[in-house]
Parts: sequence; C-alpha cells; structure tokens
Amino acid sequence: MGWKEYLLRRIIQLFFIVFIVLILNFLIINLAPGDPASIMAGELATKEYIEAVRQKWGLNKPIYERLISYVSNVVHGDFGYSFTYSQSVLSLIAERIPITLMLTLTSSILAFVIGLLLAVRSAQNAFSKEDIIVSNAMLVLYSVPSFWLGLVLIGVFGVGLRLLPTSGMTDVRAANTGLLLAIDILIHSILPISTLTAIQIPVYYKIARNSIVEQSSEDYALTFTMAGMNRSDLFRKYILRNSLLPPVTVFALHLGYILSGAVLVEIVFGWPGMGRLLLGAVYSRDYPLIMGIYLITSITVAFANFFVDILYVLLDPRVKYTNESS
Amino acid sequence: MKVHENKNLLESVRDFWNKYKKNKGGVIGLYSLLIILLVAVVVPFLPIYDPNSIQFGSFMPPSLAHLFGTDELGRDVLSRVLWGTRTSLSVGFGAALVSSLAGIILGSIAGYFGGLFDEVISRITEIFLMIPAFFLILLIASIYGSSIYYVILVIGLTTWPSTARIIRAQTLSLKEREFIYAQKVIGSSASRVLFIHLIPNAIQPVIANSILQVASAILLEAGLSFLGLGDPNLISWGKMIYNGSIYIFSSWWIAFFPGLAIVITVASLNMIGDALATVLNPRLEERGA
Amino acid sequence: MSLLEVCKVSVEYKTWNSKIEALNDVSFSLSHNEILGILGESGSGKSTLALTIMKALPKNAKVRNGKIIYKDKDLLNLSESMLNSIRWKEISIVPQNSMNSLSPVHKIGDQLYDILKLHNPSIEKKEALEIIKEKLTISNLGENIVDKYPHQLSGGMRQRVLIATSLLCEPKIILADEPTTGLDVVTQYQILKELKELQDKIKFSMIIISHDISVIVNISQRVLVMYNGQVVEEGKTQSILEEPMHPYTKALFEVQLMVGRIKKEDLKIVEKQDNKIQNFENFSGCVFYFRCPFATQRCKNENPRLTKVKNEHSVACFLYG
Repeated sequence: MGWKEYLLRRIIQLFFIVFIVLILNFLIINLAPGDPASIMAGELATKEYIEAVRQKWGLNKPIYERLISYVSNVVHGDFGYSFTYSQSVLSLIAERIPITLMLTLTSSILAFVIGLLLAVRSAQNAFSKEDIIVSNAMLVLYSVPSFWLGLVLIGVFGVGLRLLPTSGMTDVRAANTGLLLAIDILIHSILPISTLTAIQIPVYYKIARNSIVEQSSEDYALTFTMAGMNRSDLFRKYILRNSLLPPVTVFALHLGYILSGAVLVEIVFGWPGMGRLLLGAVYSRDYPLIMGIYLITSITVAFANFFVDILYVLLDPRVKYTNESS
Repeated sequence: MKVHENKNLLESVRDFWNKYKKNKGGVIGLYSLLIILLVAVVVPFLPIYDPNSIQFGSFMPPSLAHLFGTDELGRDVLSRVLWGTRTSLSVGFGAALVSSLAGIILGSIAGYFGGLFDEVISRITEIFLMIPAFFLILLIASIYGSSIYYVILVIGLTTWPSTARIIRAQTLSLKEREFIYAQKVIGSSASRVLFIHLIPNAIQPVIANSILQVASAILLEAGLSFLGLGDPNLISWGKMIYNGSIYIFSSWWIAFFPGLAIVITVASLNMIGDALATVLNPRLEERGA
Repeated sequence: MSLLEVCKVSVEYKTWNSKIEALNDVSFSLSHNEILGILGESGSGKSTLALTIMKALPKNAKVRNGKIIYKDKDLLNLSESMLNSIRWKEISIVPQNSMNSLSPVHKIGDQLYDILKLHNPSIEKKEALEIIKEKLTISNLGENIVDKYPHQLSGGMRQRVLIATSLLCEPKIILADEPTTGLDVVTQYQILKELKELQDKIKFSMIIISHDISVIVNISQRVLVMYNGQVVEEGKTQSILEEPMHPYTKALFEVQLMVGRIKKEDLKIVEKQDNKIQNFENFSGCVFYFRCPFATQRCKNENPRLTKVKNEHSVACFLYG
C-alpha cells in the first residue's frame, strides 16, 4: 500500500471515529429520562427556547431524522447555545482555548523533557539503589490526584510561604498592562504549570525508562558492545533512538487532551480556561456546554491518534502501511 | 535456558512469590493494600466517631481527640477518611471487575474465533480506546444522575479495551498450542474450550493490568466527586477534598488527609501492579545482582 | 604454533537466587587458518565462551579464573583501550542472527560505518564507504545494501550482512555464533559454503559455534564438544566422526546424524532433564553423570579430566582410562 492510500485510509478512519462519537453523544441525550429538548437547552432555558430547540434539532421527529439533523448541525459548527453565558457553545470554548493551551502545552513539554532526562539517568544505572528509589517515587507521584497536589502547593507556597499567587491568571487589583501584565500572568501560571508538569512526569518517566531498559538488552546492543563501542556512544547513537518511539507516541496521544486535560487543576487555581467553563456548566446543568466540551475533547483525541499513526510511519522504518491493528 | 513446563501449581506459586517479594515496592504495596481492605471491612466496628455526627466544633485542627481535625460542619475527618475507603475501593474494584469481564469476554472471542468477530471487535476496541472516559462519565453523571452504580458501570465500560487487547493477543498464541488443539479434536464445545481451558491460561498478564485499572478508577471517581458529580449519599475522598478546598487558606487538614488517603491507596495498587508487570515481563527483570 | 590459547577458563553467572557455572576449566587452542567447531546444546556454555573471548559478558557474569592468550597478551587482563585495539581488528564475531542483531531503525551502511570508525577513528567517510561496499560484495551482497534497513532483508541476507560486519577490519580470528540458525536448509548450506570460500580466499582462523552437528562437520577441521560448561571431547573432525567416544557425543551423533536407527535409550539420554545438576552445588562428579547410561560410582565422586586417548583425540570419560 502506498503512502497516499495509507493517509487516505487513516483520514477515513478519523472521520468514522468522529462520527461514532457524535452518535454516542446523540444516544446519551436521547436515551436520557425526560425531555431531550430540555436537556439540549440546559436547565436555565426558557419555555420558548426549549420549543425553539425542539424545532431546530427536530426533536419531535422520529429518531433517525433527529440523528441526521443533530449530525448536520454539529458538522456545521453548531454545538448549541449556552443559556448560562448567553453565548454559543463553540465561541465560548474558542475563547478559552488559548488560556488553557498556555498551561497544557507548557506543562506537557516540560514533563516530557524532565521525564525523559530522569528516565535516561535511571535506565543507565538500572536496578541501582537510585533507580529503585526514583522509580518508586514516580509511582507515588503517579498516584497523586492533580487537584489535590494543586491544593498542597497552594498550601505550601501560597499560604505557608506566601511566595506565589494562588488563584486567577492576573492580579485584578494591579490592572497591569504590557510587559508587567505578561510577568503577572507568568507568575500566576507558576503553580498551575508546576502541578500539571509534576502530574505528567511519571507517565513519561516510566515508559521511557522501561523502553531504554528493554532496548539495552536487545541483540544489537550486544553486537555493538562486542564491536568495542563504549556504553555512552552506544546509548547516544543507538539505544536512545530506538527507545524514543514509545514516549513520543504517548506525548502525541496526550496532545489529545491538550484542551481539557487540565480542567481539574484549572478549577483549583481559578484559571479562567476550559476548566472553569466546565465547572460552571456542571453546576448549572448547562448540558449543551458539557456536551460541547466532551465533543471537542473527543475530536482532539481522535486527531491526536491520527497524528500518532502518521508519526509512527515517519519515525519507525519498520512500520508498513497496513491496516493491522495489533 | 531450561524451561520448566511441568511444575505443579504450588511450586509455581511459590516461585512467583519468591520473585515477587524481591520487589520491595510490590511488597510494601501489598501489605498496605491488605490493611486498607481490612479497614474497609471492619470500619463499622472501629472505635471511632460517627462520620456524620456534627456534634463537635467546626474547623478544629488535628489534636489527640481528633487526629485529623474536624471539618466545616464539625465532623471528625479521621472517621470520614476511614469510611471513605469503602466508596473508593467499591468503585475501584467494581469498575475493574466490569472492565476485566468485558475485556476478557470480547478479547477472547476476537482472538479465538477470528475472522469477522475479530474484525468487528478490534474496530470497536480501537474506537473505545479513543473515548475520553472522564468526560463521558462526567456527561453521563450530569445527565443521568451520579449513583455509585452508574459511576462503576461507566468507568468499567469505557476502560475495557486494554484488557481486550491483551487477552486477544494471548488467545491468538494459545489457540495454536497442543492442549487447546487436543480439546478441539476431542470435540469440546467452543465455550468449554474458551472458558475452561483458554481464558484461565491467558489471564495472567491481565491481572497486573486490572490492578492498575483499580487504581485509575479510584482516581477517576475522586476527580468526578471533586466536580460535585459523585454519589451524594456516600462519603467520598474526592468530595471531602472539594469541600476542604474552600478552606485551604485556614484549615488545610480538611482537604489534606483525604488526599493523602487517595495517594496511599492508589500508590499501593500501582506498586503491586508494577511489581506484577515486572515479574511477568522477564525483559524488565534484573539480570543477576 | 597456536594463534589463540584458551587456558582453564571458568565463568559463572549469578541469577536472582543462585549461581550457575557456565564454563568450567575450558581449555583449547586455535591455529593459524584453522576452523574449529564448538558443538553443544543450548546451555552448554558455548555462547558464553564467545562472549568471554570478546570480553562482552553481561554484568552478572564473572570470570573466575583462566587466561586467554593472544599474541603473548592475556585478553582477560587487558585495559579497555588495549582491548579495543584488538577487538574487531584482530578478533571479531559474527553475532547470532536475529531480527535485531543490528539496530532496526538505522541504515545498515551507517551502522557498519560506526563500527569501522570505532577502530579507524581518522577514516574518511568516502574511504569507509569503499571498504563497507567491498566487504558487502565479498559476502555476496549488493552495494545497495548500505541504504537498506535490516527488516528489509531476508534472513540469509541479514546473516551475510553480519558476516560482512565481522570482516570490516580484516581480523585474524572470526567467531561465528550459530551462523545459520533460523535459516532454511538451502540457505544454511549456502552460507556455510560462502564462509568457507571466504576463509580460503582471505585467510583467517575461525571458531564456529553451533548445536547442529551437520554445520560443524561440514566446515571445521577440529571439533570441541561441550556439555554443561565443560569440554567433554576434542579431536579432528574426521576422527570424531569415525569414532565418537564420549557417551554424550555418541548420543548426539546418533540422534542428529543417524535418525534412521535411533535406539530408545539414546533418545532418553538426550531428552532427560538435566536441571537436577544445578541443585547439587557441591557435586564433584562427572557433568554427564545424571544422563549417562554407563555411570558408575566413580563417575559420581570424581570428574574425569580431558585425556588424550589417541592421536589428537581427547575425551573426558573414565570409560577410556
């Protein structure tokens, strides 16, 4: 199979998955007890609006017609209207994206780099005391709920040491502009970014360490050792390159959660991104907004998976363009 | 090296334990999980305060009378943390059970029958792997209500793909072996071969995975409760953290101790799972001393 | 005069709960332009022997005693830099063939270049490429192999790449560890023929390690039979073929070469589980005691030494004195 056919196939698969997600979403709404129109409209909606929603989404029609109109609305970018915010769901989400990305992108990259560096150190002294201690510490860190770690950091650095701001993105009282505003935002982002980074480090650490340990016992490592290559050259030129695929894959997959992966931490720190949006939506039972966030997350995850498949072909010469799923 | 095929069960269990106990983290995790399980079972008989009693003063810091202090309503945080083990462990083990059962059944059918079964189940697995479980549960909990059974069921039904994949691969390699082939030749029914002979032999690698799923289900539940979507009738660590987060500036203990309980429980499970995975995957084992 | 002299080498492995003796007092020598075959089943220590000579034993292995003399130097006592001046330039190895004997994500040419550069740090890229292409050509491969990845080649081609790799620095001695395992019979035969032709043409000594008698017999002039870390028989190929002496050698020969008339007892000897011996840490008898049909009380108490029975044919068995 050629490169183009492979790409085409993956794109078709991508659309298929998005379609399945839409159907799932549709079923959740339509199988729920009660009136789907009032769910779609949200709990704050007025009677007239509920009626309008019923007409627009065809909720008085048979189920297959409803499905068609639902899919066509979503495909046209209409995720519904949020009564809580008096704004369309899509524009609400779009507003929050850059604010959230600031946290998620930075922390993902930091976590990847730090996790990898720790893993390299551990794997090179595999099964040493240091490796065992770090590995277990990472397992513990992996077990920490992100929102609780955020609270602990607030307690230590905000309340105890009074070093860092603990809530919001800016100091509202100061009303800074320009460079001062940028610095203000930066300082406010230190704790949330640290929390998100710390939570993700163990993921990359574990997968990279195991990958390096496994690769170090591969036959080619022995071949080069016997040929007289020293450990550091062997590691730098061969083992590292062979070990990179799993952590890079996980990194790319995590990009799928770039918009919504930080919601709990955002809530803890009062960061005005997607998390705050979601929390508000949950409290006021603003279903269109919850569904919108769920849809956006599903779609970004599907795209991340698509991206990983393409990445694999680029990074690993062994991958052939087949449709094997194993 | 030598392969010992015909060791009896007792010997293999002892062998396994000998290897497992070399992993200190795994041993610590195991003991700590046993203690937590014990607490969950005997908590009604423990000499602690009623977790819902509001007769004490609010916001009392940790003291000898209240080791973990009291919360905003004057409830004893320690007894609430101890009672919370029940919720967390039920959700964790319940969801892992649902997910393992679904994964084992679907995975073994896909691997054993192959063909169209395999094709369809594998595609479904692929799609489910891409469903963001947390957000789906959140959506369902907010629309359908957040009874603990929904939470268990939905976590279970969104996390089975990893089990299904492992079992499928195991089944594929096992079904070519003589003892399975022999069963087919003597005319055993497919379900008999599958349930009596195949699955028990394929299940080993699933165990480590299931333990890790217990851990992640507990974290999922905590996150859900933190958003106010946990079962309102149960004492949940996530909800306690949420309540305490408002008072983090004055009364840190309300949120701190339930979080610590989550960390200890989940870390125990993760250490067990990790130790099992290491023992079962010889490539990650240390070669010599 | 011999080129390589292995004297009383013992190696042990430590596993998580025990020590395993992989080599026990192994001695032999290799002459100029000689092909020596080492025969033994898996676990007999033959691969450990190759790793010991290359000084590439895993961390948990320890050389307890012995010497490996090459050009008046003991390889086991050389500094890392001295060793690197010998590795590949003087002694190289054809590693066991597998999917990953070379890195799966690097081009073959780049990998061979890296190895060549290890031993000729000042070499120009162009010159190196010339050498690599030449070695590939004499190993019956096309020059275009340099741009390929290992997975793009067949098993036989990968084996030839490994042979070309071992030839890179024109060594005096080549160790070939199971050079034909995993290949189909026709390719096996071909690879062996090519190895022999190469040896005729560019002259080197070779130690060929295999569990397969037909491989050993086909190519080597002298044979060493190993069992459980010890040399149990040694002699000219012809002599051993005509008159295998050690009960183990006999059993092996009967099973592998004369499949037509296997006696049940012989099969039992070969198949019998020999892991028992590891439970006897202080067992001082013959290594083959537990599987030997001719074992006596003496064999249980005393380990027979390798003794010359006739012209250049030695055996470690009390049946022969």
